Amino acid sequence: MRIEFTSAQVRELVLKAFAEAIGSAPPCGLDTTPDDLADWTSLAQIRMLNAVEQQLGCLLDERFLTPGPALAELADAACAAVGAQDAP
Amino acid sequence: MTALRLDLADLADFAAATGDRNPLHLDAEFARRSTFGQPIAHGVLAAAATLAIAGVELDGVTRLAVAFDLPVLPGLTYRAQAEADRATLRLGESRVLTIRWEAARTPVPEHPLPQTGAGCPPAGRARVLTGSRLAALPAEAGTYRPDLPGLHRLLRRITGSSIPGRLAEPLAWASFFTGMRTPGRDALLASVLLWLADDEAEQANPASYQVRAPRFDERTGLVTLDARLTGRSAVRLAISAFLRHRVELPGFAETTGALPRSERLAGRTVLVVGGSRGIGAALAYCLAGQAAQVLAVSSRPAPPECARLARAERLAIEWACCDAGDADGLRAVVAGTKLGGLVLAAGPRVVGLPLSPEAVPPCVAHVSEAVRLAITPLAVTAPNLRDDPFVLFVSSAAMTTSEFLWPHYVAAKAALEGLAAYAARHHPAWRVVVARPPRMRTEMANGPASSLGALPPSEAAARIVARLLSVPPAPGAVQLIDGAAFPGTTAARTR
Repeated sequence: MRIEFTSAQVRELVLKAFAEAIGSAPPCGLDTTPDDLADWTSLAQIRMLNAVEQQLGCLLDERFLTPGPALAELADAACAAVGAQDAP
Repeated sequence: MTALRLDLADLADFAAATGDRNPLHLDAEFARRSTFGQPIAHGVLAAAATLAIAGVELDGVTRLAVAFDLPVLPGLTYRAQAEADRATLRLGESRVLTIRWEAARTPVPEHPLPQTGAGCPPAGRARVLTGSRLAALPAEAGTYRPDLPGLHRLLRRITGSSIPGRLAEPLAWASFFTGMRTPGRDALLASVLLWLADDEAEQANPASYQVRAPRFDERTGLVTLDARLTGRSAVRLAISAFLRHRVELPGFAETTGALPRSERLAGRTVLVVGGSRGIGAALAYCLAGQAAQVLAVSSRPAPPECARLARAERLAIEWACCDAGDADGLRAVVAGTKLGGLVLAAGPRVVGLPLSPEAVPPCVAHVSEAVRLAITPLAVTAPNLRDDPFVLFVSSAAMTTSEFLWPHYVAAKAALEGLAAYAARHHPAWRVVVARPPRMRTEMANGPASSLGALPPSEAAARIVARLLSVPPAPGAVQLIDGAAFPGTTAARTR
């Protein structure tokens, strides 16, 4: 059975996956970029992406496999991948 | 903050205590051929030592998460730092691993686990798996009997302290299972998550384990495992590890599109230093495809596939086994031969290092070795170079797209390019060329994400030789083959 997510749930999930994989909460929320945090390593990025994909049951673009895009871009891509809508 | 330094004897003792005899930690020759170029420490050993150093109360821990960011190299001094709920290990400012723990009851995942599975035979050698075999693996179950007293002795010797057995046992199993079974020989541990029951009634000796069929991500080689270990206590585990990619030898057929066969180098003998693998082998094929007689030297014997390919494609390549820094050996290889070209493609493996005082010795050693592998063949073969030779220095696009953990690599390539400038100035008859290919699919880039978008070395080599043949010589100057020659490639950001 496909689980439906709201955009807010997906963004929350991305923030939690970041904190779990990188080891601390993103200092600028979804606006955090790799330049904000030295500990945002390549392996941490893959751990984070894997957690997001596993929990949402989707595959995201390969450009998210390496640090670079801001967290918001990952969250937007995850929302699009699962068709997440804003809650009414 | 406390220093942690591991040596090769520690790795051997950890292997004996846990059964994780993965050759990446114990076999110097195997490790030399790996992307790291040397043995690295078991991640779990570094994590357990960091926990022991932290000196915090761990008896009531119910959840423990270990995440690995960088390999731990024997002989370097790392710094362990503990806070209330976490400990980190760093080299300079770069984080190497993090351990976080909780003492409150936390939800345990409800994945169903098999009671039986393919039995686990006593692990003699680490299992070798390909991605397709790994993706089809069934669930697995077995028993595990580590030498925990031996592990405690080792940790006390290294740190003066140890960790509770209820943590040591599942961590040891995670190391054993990933290093010897799944992903096995080509594993790289990424994270271990433990949920520990506080019920001691389930004690079992030997410990028994059940593992679900692994999940495998082909893009990165990431393997995720859900498991249960019942030993000193009942533990659920979620483990992630990478299966390192197999690096294919470069081919020849794929070069002929960008570089059709021709006779343009007929009558030239070209020495390719570092010519058995990666970009060096690819350059050897491309030069022979232009009718050059190629002498390819490498520190290890060329794989038999190289000679087979050369025979099948009628490429005039002879391989010789000789270290690029061995002046006498090189002299014997080129004795009596007039060289119309020299390619300097040998270099040491690159393991990421931060710009920090602790990493200065290996950084200096890397630069020294890289220079040795270029200046030796240049100095030895200079008398053998004929009147109009080309000398090709294989540098890297990293000169302009600096990788965060490659200060030594960039310094070494800068030294190589300095040597090229010297050669152009003082030997104006030589045609001196510096190539800066982008990241390529070689063993050097064989990390979880670093091979994504990387250029096949055969394609890079074809573009380099095509440019070498098409641009007129510029006596006294260095000719640069860089980004414009490699359209469509992008620099990946790595830390």
